[in-house]
Amino acid sequence: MRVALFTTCLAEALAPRSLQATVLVLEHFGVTPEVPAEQTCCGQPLLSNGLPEEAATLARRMCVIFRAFDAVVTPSGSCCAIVRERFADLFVHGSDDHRDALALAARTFELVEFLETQLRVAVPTTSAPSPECDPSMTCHDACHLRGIHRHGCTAPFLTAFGCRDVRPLPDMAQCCGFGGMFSTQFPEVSSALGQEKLAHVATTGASTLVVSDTGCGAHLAGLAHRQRADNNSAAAFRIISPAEALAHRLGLLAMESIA
Amino acid sequence: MNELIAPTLPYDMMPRARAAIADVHLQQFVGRATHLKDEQRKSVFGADFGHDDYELLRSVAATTKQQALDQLDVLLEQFIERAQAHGSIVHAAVDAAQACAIALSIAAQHEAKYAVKATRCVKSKSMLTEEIGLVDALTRAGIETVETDLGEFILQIDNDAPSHIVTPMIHKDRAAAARSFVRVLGSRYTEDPEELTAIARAHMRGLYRHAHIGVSGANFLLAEEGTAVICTNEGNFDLSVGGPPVHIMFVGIEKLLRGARDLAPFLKLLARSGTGQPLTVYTSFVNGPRRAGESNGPKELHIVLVDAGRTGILGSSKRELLRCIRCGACLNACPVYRKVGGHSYGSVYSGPIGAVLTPELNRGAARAEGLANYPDLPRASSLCGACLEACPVKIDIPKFLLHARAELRTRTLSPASESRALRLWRWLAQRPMLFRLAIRASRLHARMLGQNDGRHAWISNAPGPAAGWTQSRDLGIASAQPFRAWFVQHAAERDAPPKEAAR
Amino acid sequence: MNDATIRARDAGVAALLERVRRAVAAQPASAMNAVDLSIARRTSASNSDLATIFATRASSVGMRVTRCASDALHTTVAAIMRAHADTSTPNQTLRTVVAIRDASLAQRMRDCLSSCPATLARDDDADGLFDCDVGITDVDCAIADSGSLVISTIGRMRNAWITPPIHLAIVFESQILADLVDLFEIRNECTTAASTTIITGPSKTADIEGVLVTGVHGPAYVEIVLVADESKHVADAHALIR
Repeated sequence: MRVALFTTCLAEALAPRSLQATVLVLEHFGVTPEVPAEQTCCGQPLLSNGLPEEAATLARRMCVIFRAFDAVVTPSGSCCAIVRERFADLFVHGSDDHRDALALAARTFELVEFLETQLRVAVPTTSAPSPECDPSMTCHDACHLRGIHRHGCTAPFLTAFGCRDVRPLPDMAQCCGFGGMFSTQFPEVSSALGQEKLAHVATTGASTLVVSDTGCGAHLAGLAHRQRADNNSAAAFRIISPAEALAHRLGLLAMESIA
Repeated sequence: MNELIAPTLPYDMMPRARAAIADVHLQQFVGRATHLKDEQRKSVFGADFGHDDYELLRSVAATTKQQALDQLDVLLEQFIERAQAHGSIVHAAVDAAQACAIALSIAAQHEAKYAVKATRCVKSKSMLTEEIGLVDALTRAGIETVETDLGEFILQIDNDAPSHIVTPMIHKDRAAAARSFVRVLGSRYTEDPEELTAIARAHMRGLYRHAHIGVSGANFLLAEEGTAVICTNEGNFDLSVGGPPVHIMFVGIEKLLRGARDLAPFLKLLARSGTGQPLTVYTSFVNGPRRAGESNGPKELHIVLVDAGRTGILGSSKRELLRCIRCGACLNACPVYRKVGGHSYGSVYSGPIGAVLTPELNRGAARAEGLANYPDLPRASSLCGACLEACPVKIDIPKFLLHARAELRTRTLSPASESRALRLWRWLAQRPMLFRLAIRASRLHARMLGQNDGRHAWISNAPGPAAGWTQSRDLGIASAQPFRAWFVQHAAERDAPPKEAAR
Repeated sequence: MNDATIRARDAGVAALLERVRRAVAAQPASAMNAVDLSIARRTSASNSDLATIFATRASSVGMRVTRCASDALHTTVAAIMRAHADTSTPNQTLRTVVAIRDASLAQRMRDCLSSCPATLARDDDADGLFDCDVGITDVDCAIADSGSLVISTIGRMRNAWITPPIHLAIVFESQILADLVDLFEIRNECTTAASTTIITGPSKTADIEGVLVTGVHGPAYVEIVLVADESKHVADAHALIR
């Protein structure tokens, strides 16, 4: 099986460790991912901001770049959902492009989903190599995972994977307020939602917040950093991707201390 | 009409949204009520149907209503014929002005028929009558019109406006209600909801007994039977229709269903989606005026079928929007609605459905006005999809938000600077080498500008398009090695033959 | 209404129909599959104890259900009336309107009231309804799944069940349908009577800060007397709903 890593532009720019972790975890389970060099952006910013034709040109690129692969895996829930849910509608129904988009959608998976539903990985039987590899955590799933019926799946998977202290996040269903360019167009609304999310995270007392989308993670991390700059006593926790949480648990990647 | 739901156009959402976020009380009331209703909806459907059957039920309702819209001409004709057979008088209004004019002309004939001038009207809750500004029109004509739904009544006497389809005074607290009761009804000051309700009940009973005209909307029209179906929890519809000699019902043409045989799924979905009840307390079926020998009920029943922008939507690719049954579930589920409240949408319909419906209903004759008047509405969404998940008739609201954003772009109603930046992004994204260079350059640039804490470079006042980002949050650029560089190294190690073997 | 008004009205209706025709034709019909509406059914007609389901569900939406045998109907109604007279009205006499379609049951209830702290109101005085304390009705049928009462204006004074603060409804077990879906599959008066109301609870609002308050415009109390059927009423009830 040829597996490609769909890196996403945002993760390349902001979250390289999440991509490293994805590679390491896949390799741990016997999959050797390739990274097609020409991939750039899937077009989500264009699609979400009223430029569907421009988005279609990038979607077409994606179809070509990933054509030779049996599966396309990404740690970013939102980008995955766009490929799955919205790509096909960018093209005339019944056209070759439409068919290609449907085919790509059928082969594209978010990392946790890929491990759970495609590889059906076995739960590690050994405990974490060190207690630091298995911190107290809570999960916020990217809203776009709703569309591919994976919303709320990360926390149960981590628990099943042997993470011993995964705490329920109150009101997980509510958006963190990121929403792509929405975060800069309506910063007050966006950050009010983000602050509510952070407050819920703080009530869990978890040291680690697992966020299944790069953009949401950057938004929350940025808010938390600003909060602590303004108020030193604000709760401190690290924000990581599910890929990193898994890589930590497997002892493949050293966990960073809380800033 | 009230400026809150009929603002000066074009409408700028930001001032009200900012004010709402700064309003601690509103945050509390709206946040708590919407969360509660949303959780009730989920738990009730889960308990009563289970996930899979609930999904099926939504599909059934979506399909049933879509099919009704696809043959709306046939159903409408059938409904008119059957309703007339029941003795109802059917009118049609192309727009708000015509709908109000019909009401006024019915009122004008009152004196000739009943030997008394129509001056008092009791009105049951109806979003459509808000849309057409009926209360104002009647009041201007000297007909004192009282909202009988408790929430709507409190809003009316307070010169406020509904901010939620189902829970109209979600943004208000009991103290506000208490003050207006003292001022308008002269009752003693009490904040107890039970006492306030009892005061309103007593006041309203006098109105029901002496009103000349009753006004309402309808939730569904059944074509095969000519029946109107009205859902309330308070019972105010039954009293509004039962007392006065004349009743006028205003109904949007999208309310048609094929017949009673299609109704059950909608009744079951409507109440559960809106309030978590199995059915609304009162589901009333009306088939014309009172019959011979009956001692009460309206002597005349007028049904005014209102277009007001609906045929425009029906004939467009957005027909699906007309499936909406006004349950309010998408408002309760929407993170943005929870923060900005209903009045921020500057329209009768707020929340996600309002964001897509309002511009469509207000397109005007040339079908162009809508988005020009409401350019913010489709943008004020994080596209989280909670609305679609909550919608009992599966309207793909996120999809229509995207369509509206595309129209904003083609009509240059969204900022040109944004369009330029996005097109540059596309241009770069088609050139992988340049694209990666650009990302690397901006990472380097950011790391020079930002404060480095060893793991991230943090920027707190970014220039240009990122300024909106750093207004309320910092931008963290990871200091870790770029992924591609790491991967090249990693792959080389991974794919190299083990050293022992090479030796 | 003069001819010109009627012509204008009919022209308006015709113009609307024409606009709708054009709009329908402007878009292709959706390619959606036929649907099976039975998915909406939650409670099956084959369920052997619809009466218990009905009683449970009606209670859970806030109505009070008292079950009794047919020969205990009088005493049950009288007890409910006395309980309300003791608590709810200062003068201890309940002004009561009887709006019962079944003539013999109506007579039985009027007889019963003579042994209650009640005065009988006329059942053709619309304005007088507002002065009543209790409305006693029978029902067209009841729905087990949602715990609902179905009451039409045929043979009953409209709003007798919604205007007074107390509604006392007499339901025979044989009148209970399993599910709302069944209501629309049988011949019923929802679509033929001048008006029919499906009642699922006492009048309710949560408009003020989400606090649930009952008895807004309609009754605060809905008392259901659920009568175990024997003999005569089975046939009568079936005649009503079939």
